[in-house]
Amino acid sequence: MRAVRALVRKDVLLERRSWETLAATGAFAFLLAVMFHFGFDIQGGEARRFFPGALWIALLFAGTLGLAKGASGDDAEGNGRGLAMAPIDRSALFVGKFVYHLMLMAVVELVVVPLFLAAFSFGAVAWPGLFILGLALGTWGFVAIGTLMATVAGELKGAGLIMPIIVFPLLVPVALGGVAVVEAAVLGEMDPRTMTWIRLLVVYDVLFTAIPAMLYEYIVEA
Amino acid sequence: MQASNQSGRKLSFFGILATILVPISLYMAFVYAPTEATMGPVQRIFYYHVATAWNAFLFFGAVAVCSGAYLYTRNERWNQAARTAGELGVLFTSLTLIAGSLWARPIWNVWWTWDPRLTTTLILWFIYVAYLLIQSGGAQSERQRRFGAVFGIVGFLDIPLIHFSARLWRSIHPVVIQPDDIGMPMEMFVTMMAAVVAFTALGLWLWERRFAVESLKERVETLKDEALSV
Repeated sequence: MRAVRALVRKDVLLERRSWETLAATGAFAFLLAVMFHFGFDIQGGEARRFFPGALWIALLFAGTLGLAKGASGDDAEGNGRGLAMAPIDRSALFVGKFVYHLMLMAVVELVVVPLFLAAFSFGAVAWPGLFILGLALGTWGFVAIGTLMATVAGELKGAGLIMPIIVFPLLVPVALGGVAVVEAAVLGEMDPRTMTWIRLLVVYDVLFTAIPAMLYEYIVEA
Repeated sequence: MQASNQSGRKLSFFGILATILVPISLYMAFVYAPTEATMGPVQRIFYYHVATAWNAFLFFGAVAVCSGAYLYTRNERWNQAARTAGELGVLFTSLTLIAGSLWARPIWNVWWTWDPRLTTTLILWFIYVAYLLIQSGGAQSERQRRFGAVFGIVGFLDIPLIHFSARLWRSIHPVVIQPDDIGMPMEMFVTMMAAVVAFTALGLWLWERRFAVESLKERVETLKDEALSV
């Protein structure tokens, strides 16, 4: 637990020195809201219909790049090697990175989601509670898989390009489920499937937090 | 499945099996099986469609198992087995998607539809293309191999969730086409099973050959190193 706290502190400190990852990720996500409007010329009543998908695509695109960036910087000064040799449990390394990425995405969403709501301006979200739940569950799953894969991609040549290709196929349940729950919240229509989506997201989140934590020791071996 | 057959002059067990069974299954699919009443001759794609799909799943299962074995034992042979299985999995998934698409055009009147099974198969294809991407490059580092193995396992575990979510997603719309709603006479079923068995043998034979090529490559590398270090 202490190790996790120290690891998170290290990453937060690094980010606070430059704000680079946060600024780039948030700006890119918001820029995508603008691009969606150019691409689909979204008007009036359509906004509500487009919003859930557009928001998730923006968060997953920008988030993927943000996570990949963090991973490639990690090894720059032999940091990764040092961590791999530290006498702490391997899963602590994963949990530390995971918590930090979760915080990163939470801050990005705090900024980007209101901007998205303003850009799509279809009025209020019908069920804010469900909206936040959908965002949180989807983000959790994305960050869990994303953290594992960012470490994998960070090692490969052309990490920035490989990252989305290895992450997106694995994220299909998150993308479909996240959109479905956010859509239900925005429209204020509880579909009988909404509960199943929430359950599916919970299962995904638990499964893909536990498995990478277990497999992480094969990733960070020096 | 290595050394003894590396020269490739002799047919192995699966080689002999495939050489015998594939022509038989061809005969069965094109001559023995009756022509389907409504779909006509194009329905004969079905036998190979099922057989290639079966092989695709077989090899992706093999990727996961061999990857797990590699992480556990760190024996390079397991990694080679996993990677070559991944290549064949992508090959057979591609064949499944192409044959399915050719069949769908005259029968469903579309090249593609977002039916849960089609969606899952397509995502499966993407996952294993990504797997090959991680594993690609001749001079792989040991880390790269480990990452490939981890991805092979995670990807495989994700498949049931992907299929479940694709089903849930698609149930928003009425299911117009039920691809599995084909009543089948016995001859057709037998032909299908023959194709599945023949393609399994063919697939395993290809795997064996591919694996042998990789082993030879490795030997060339070793010999090169030895020659250079003298």
